[in-house]
Amino acid sequence: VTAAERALDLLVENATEGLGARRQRELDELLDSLAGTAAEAAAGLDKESFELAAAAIELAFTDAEPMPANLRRRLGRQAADVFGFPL
Amino acid sequence: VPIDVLPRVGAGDPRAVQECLDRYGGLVWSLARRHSPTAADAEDAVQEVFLSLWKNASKFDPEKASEAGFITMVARRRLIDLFRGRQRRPQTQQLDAELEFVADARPLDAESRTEAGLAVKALGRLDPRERQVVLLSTYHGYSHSEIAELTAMPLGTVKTYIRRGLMRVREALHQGPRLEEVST
Repeated sequence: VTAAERALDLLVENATEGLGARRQRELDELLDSLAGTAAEAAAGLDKESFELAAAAIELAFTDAEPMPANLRRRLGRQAADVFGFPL
Repeated sequence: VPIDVLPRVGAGDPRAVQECLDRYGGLVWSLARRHSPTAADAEDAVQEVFLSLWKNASKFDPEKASEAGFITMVARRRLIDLFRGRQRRPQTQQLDAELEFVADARPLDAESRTEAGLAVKALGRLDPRERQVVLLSTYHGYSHSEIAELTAMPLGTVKTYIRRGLMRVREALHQGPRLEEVST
């Protein structure tokens, strides 16, 4: 297995079931070592692109349901804490 | 196509924060319900997701994704992180349902319809078994080993199917028409 193939496997795993700390480090090191190489360009080793592909699939099958009113109020209070203004 | 709210959220605009909650609260809630073991966990997860969204709002790039797509990505990232390692109880009736998935795709709005539509089209071109595996992973959130157990496929085959399916969808998103070009 080449470094680029291993990186692809880890990118897919990251986008679908997440990576533990050890594998995340391995992926980061692989991406660093492959940065700017022909192998990186050929394999399309872009971390976000796999996450966006998985997100597009989930979005396609998701119906937005109204959230509970108490949760909406909690989010309003949380936003006020974070941004410093009342909602 | 509605005007994006995330750039304004990133700039700290109070009305945009409110609008973001109103526009995407239901989407994030639905995603959290699917990924979370209980409704209480889902409520906590929604708060975590919005904290992450507000922190990352300025990273939204409309050239790469629709706002709904970006929000779904950030939500998935947080939800996977929160619930990684949780065992699920596979239901065999899901397998048949996945084979007739196309009619059930109901994208959120005109903007995301483009992005989600491209994903559905790409999935539609996959072999049914490959499509099933990809959906069990990306939509139902099963781990690769759970899918291998559920489908009685070797783990290596499951990983290959998921990788190939995501690459096809990624390619479709890259090659797809830009959002503004298809809004009519």
